[in-house]
Amino acid sequence: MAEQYRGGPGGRRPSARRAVPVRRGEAVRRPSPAPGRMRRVTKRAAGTDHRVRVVVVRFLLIAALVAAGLKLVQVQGFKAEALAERAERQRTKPIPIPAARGAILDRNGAELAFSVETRAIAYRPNPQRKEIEKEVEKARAAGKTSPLSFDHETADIARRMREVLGDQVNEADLLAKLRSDKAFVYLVDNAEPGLTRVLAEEFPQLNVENRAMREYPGGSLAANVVGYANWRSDDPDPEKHSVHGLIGLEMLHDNELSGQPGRQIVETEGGADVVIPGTERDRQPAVNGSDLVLTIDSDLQFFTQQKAAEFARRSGAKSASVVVLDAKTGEVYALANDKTFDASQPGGVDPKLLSDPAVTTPYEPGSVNKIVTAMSAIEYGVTTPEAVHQVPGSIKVADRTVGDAWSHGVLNLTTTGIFAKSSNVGTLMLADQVGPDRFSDMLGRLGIGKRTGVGLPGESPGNLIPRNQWSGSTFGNLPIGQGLSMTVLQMAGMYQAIANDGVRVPPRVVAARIAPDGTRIPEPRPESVRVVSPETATTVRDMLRSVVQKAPHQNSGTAPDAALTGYQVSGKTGTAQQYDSAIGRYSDSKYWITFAGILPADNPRFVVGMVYDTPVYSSPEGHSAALFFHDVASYITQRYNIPLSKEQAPIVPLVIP
Amino acid sequence: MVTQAEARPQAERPRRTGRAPGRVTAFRVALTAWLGRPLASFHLVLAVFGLLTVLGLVMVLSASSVVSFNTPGFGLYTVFFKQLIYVSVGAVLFWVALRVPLARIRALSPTAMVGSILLLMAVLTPLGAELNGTRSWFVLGPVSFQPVEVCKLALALWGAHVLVVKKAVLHRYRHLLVPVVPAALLMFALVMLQPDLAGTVTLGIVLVALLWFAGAPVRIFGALALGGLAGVALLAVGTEYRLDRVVSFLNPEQDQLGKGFQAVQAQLALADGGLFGRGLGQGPSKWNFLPNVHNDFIFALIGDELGFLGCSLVLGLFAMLAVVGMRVATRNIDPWIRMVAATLTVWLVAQAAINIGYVVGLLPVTGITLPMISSGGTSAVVTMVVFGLLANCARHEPEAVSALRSQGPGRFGRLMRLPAPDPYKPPKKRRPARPSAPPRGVARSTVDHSRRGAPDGRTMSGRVAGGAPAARQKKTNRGAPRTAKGGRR
Repeated sequence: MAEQYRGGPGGRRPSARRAVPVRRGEAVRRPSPAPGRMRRVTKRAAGTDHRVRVVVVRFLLIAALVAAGLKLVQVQGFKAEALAERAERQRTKPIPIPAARGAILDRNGAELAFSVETRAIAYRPNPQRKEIEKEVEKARAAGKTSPLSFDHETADIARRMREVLGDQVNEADLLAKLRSDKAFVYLVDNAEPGLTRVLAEEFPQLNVENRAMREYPGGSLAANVVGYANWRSDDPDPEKHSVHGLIGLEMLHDNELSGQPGRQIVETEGGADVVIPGTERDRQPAVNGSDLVLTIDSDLQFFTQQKAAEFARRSGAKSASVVVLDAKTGEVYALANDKTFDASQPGGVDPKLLSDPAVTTPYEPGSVNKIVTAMSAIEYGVTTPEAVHQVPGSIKVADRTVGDAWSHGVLNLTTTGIFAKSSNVGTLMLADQVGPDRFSDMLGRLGIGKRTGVGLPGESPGNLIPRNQWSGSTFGNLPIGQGLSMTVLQMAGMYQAIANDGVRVPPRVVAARIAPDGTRIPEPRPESVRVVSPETATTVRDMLRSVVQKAPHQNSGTAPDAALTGYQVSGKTGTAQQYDSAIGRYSDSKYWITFAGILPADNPRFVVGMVYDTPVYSSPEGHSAALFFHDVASYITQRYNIPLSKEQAPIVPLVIP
Repeated sequence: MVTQAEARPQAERPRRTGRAPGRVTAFRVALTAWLGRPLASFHLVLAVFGLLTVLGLVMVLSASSVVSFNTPGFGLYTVFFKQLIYVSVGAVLFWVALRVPLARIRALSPTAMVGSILLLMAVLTPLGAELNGTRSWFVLGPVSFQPVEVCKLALALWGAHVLVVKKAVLHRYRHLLVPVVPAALLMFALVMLQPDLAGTVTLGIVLVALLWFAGAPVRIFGALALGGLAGVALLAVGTEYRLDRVVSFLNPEQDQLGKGFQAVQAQLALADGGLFGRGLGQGPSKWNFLPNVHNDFIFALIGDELGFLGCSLVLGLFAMLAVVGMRVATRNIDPWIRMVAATLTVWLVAQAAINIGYVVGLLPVTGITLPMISSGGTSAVVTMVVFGLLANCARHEPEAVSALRSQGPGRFGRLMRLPAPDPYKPPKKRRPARPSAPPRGVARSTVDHSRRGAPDGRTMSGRVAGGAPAARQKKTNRGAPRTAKGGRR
């Protein structure tokens, strides 16, 4: 059949058919019939015309698509690298990964300071005002009234912030800030992240920044030791803004506490900080800060702070400080001043309260320093506790005459009596037998004139004249605790030496670090110093029990008020004249009243030292710190369940008739 | 014919592999044979339709996830679910458009035209809803409907109908232009009142396509082109935002964060994708960098995620649509179908070309969407109807008609319960008029009868219909239009 067709009229004129612009797939169609030609001959046939038009349109459509394809080759091929780099630049962003600042814990793990994540909320009053005005203007141009208004918006924001954040903000203050004539203003510094998210979703025009806030749950508890840290934004690089310590351990251990912030590159959504999932890269993880474990016991610390404040008030002192040391390890259980700042207060801290006089302010210890003489005299065999000395009313050392606190003729005082009754004359007599060199050595071994290294910033070494600069009268002052100065820590440290059988362990306040992975890294133990033999230490400790002895016939010590029923207590009172620069000599009305004690004396657990600065000397509380010691010591025995002493301290004769 | 239809699908694959001329020839022969099957056009339309629909859904899902997440609804799927519902509705309408006899559609086209003009008027009243400054939508609860999309279809169907009816007198300008051009101008005016430039441009394309395929003189199009340019210029200068678009097109870098933002971002997204793309779902441009990413600028996201390859696929699909649509138009014999198929194809492909053109930076940004791929309810539904009509037209190719009528509907047709298409019958009224044209009459009477009558009759009645006779039959149909068939019957 096909043959028949091929043989037909169309077969004669294949070339003519080809002139018609139809090319594709003509293998079958080729035997074109004559009518095609006939049409053209006659007139422009509609069919052919239609076909031409179809071909033209098809060409145009495909040409348009091909043109787009060629442009794509340019955009996605030749220019791709440069453009893609721009695309990448507009969406990548390095974001800092904040490192959590370590907490500061007391010896039992109670948190004294820790960080919480917060948000700062800011607003841009002037740009926002302009923006809204523009919108309103546009709406007016379109003949409508815009529902927007700057006043409405700011009022809404203030109202909702008050509703969401509660008492943290004040609506009127917020409004004032929102409507201020500024380009940028912080509304709230430390808002809860969850609540902030609510607000930010409601008002996208609010700017939210990461913050961290340092919480001090105890308020002023141990504030003098812990110190204070807050959000620092001084650094020009905003990535380095973080919580940093200003004072105290927060400052001294800032590096360990703050850790190392991390960083990563992310791609973010256009116009927002939303991270596109799966685009995080170049991640350098943050290393969180270590926790700091202190030797402080927050309960005892709280009690001593209360008591210091109470006794400063009762004694009328300018200030009072107290320290409690572990007798064996030298760890500081409490280090309190009568007043300190409250780091949790919203207004920040009072700069006047920032100092920590317990470590920064040395004072002349007075009779408390007689322990140096006592230790030397026993250690070097100059005397025994029971030896009787004939002590006159005064003694002349070099060009000065020194008397006792009470006037008396020649008294027969035992060595114990000399210290228990705090006889200056007797002490100087013993010191003279010890000699200045051995005395100076003893002071050195006790760490006087050198910083204890307790680990608190601004510690004072006190003041001790070097041996080679001593004048004649120097040796008449030092044994009775004048002419040298020390901090309450150094003072307590001397007593810690005899409480610990003659080995002085320098005090310290930081027990350990807890690394972010949970490992506990103990602070290196300070090097201990053998000061006297254990026997000497025991002897002196026993001798000093008589200070709190209450007995008839002048056999009472200077501080029977310090005695604690059921416990043996060793201690020493001190009263030092303050140098009065106005009159150029030691004052007769301004004193440092000190006390240092060991508890219990037969099995020492704690050493307590305390000092009043310029109390009202005539008042019973201002006259002696014995009551203060008594209160602290009685609390300690309860808190640490210290067993009662097996026997009462024996009553020993102080004055031999 | 059956064997041919089933054996060839893989014939297309070994494209350009052969080095030897022999293989090229073999390939060409195989391709030609495949394309020669009676239902090749129909299957190609279905393939293009299916691929575009699936690609569109996938890309809408990818592009709209960020937008959806930020709007209340079904989380990441709010926009996608909406699109899925529209596509489901569209699929049903696709089936309807595939099934309804074209003659009935043609008969309904004047009604559709009147109805759509009424809708265009209604949308300007408070019945319509205003969105982004244009009053283009009817909103009924969660469903919105954009009448301009339907208008494009109505204009194409009705315009083709009118021009075909007037075929004999089209050489007179009055008949060529009235009533199609005034009706279209009325539509333009109503659409510009919304105002919707993109809709007007598409309507204009439909009108131009109609006139072009009706055989209007070329000089009309020259005049139209000049007038169109002037009109666009006037409109652009007249309205601030359009002027901004034009200015930003001429110099997009000048105002990167302002009006040229979209254009620049589209380039960045395309470049970011490079040759192979960043992977499906991985395009960063949808994260609020590219405005309208699931809509007008979805092609940029295709470039971002699927790279140059994905873009080429889309371009290729639309190019294939152009080829197949035009093939359907040329192979049909019913003048109305020829014109409708050609016009609808031009509409879809031109819309795609304009959209892609402005996304890649060849044209100023207009709101014209990418058919079947951009998310958008009415547009997707109407586009699917258009594909249904195209597929229906493809089934009306004479070879297809004869094959379907003799061989049965085929697997797809049975599945879809498609009725067998009716062969074209020229309108009876014209028959007496035609013989009066002497040259045609001569040609017909001499050739047709001698050559065709006998074989045709034999084929239809006596022998099993093979591919060759069917092809030949078509050939003859084409060579001798209209009256030839009249003679056959």
